[in-house]
Amino acid sequence: MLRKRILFALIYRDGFFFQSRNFNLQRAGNIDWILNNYNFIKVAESIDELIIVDAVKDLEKVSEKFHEDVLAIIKKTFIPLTLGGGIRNIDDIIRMFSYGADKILLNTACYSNKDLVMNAVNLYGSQSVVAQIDYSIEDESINLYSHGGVQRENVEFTKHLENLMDMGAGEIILNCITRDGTGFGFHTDITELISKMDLCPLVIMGGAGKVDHFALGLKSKKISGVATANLFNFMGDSLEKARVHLIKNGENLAV
Amino acid sequence: MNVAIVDLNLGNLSSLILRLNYLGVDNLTLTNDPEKIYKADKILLPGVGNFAAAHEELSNKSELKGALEQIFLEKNKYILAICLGFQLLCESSDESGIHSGLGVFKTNIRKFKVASEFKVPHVGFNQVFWDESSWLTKDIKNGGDFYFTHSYRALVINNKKILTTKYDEEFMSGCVTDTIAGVQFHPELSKKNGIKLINNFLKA
Repeated sequence: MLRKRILFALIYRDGFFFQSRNFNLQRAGNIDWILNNYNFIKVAESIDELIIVDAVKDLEKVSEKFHEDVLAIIKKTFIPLTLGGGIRNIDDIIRMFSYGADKILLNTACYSNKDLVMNAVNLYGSQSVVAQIDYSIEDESINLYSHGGVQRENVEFTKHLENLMDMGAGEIILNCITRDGTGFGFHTDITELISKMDLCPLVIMGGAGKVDHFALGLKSKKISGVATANLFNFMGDSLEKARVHLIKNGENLAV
Repeated sequence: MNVAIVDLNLGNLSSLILRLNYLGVDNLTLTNDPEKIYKADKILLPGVGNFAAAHEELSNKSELKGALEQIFLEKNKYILAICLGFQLLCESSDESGIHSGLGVFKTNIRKFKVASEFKVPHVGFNQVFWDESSWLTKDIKNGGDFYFTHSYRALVINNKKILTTKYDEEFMSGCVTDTIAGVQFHPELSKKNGIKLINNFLKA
């Protein structure tokens, strides 16, 4: 039976890892801090995939430090790695794969540079191209954002999903800015908007604060996986404990 | 021990190489040189991407294809083919037209049936079963989880040596002969089961 997935995302910028709340970044620590607070050999047994996003501000600066820090983490993990952040051209994509990525994460390009998304699909296959949708809930409507939550996009949510399918995205991460880092739980209602659509595998992200939130997210039929970037709520061995708890309660996760 | 990774220019291999380095494979050669491949102790045939492109690449490299076929005949060294590499060892695929493979495994590659409850690509951990344990699956739990990501799969054949997995229907997720193994999943991304499988290959 195909299992559902737990994904863990690390937000990175200029040598540090960050806790994000509603897309405001709070510095948590550097690579040593991460490796001291998370036993990645164990973390990688407790999650199914790892995402590392370089929330780089200066797009002109290729960060060798990012490469080094990615290597320091993934050499301890035998799980799929998705890398993203600041991808503007095919060279950025080639670079991310050369760092050891199994998939790349694209958001902004999905609005303004569809050729790049389609190029990535042609070169690396749909299964290697993950589209992330950053959205917020404003007056009960769903608004989409690019450029790390800065620029509002005018395309309608379901239309954008259709566009992503046309471009050949292999997976889609629905990341709720309104819930991001709050610990209030996933915005599972989003799945009601897409109940009639035929889409690629979907991952829900934003809001997980405790193990019960994972359980609620995993119960949704439309969802293939749940993701969290909440560093502080899942420190130490809490990811490990969460997984054990979920499997004991019958969740369909790899054992 | 010299392990050759056959470089058919098929997608991204950095991920695999990083993990093999971590497992302590020190003498790893990424190459499309038929002689180097023929002389290696062990051979990995990885690949992600399009079957038609892989078929063309192999057709253009007749000496490389010849070296691989010679190794298949001589059965004197272990080969592990992964993902598209596994598909290439089957008889044919209907991805982007019908193209032939190397025919080691007597089955064909077809696209998953698309149904709303079975999304394509088939992505994530899924269970792998076998009738008879082999050098490849030694000490791994029958029904253990491995990481898949693909849109085409091999049709099940009546053979005790195959590995199977269930999605839209049961498909052939691998096959193991005396010296040649092919797997649709990615052992290098499959946590402890994957590490065991790669180590089984390296120790075989």
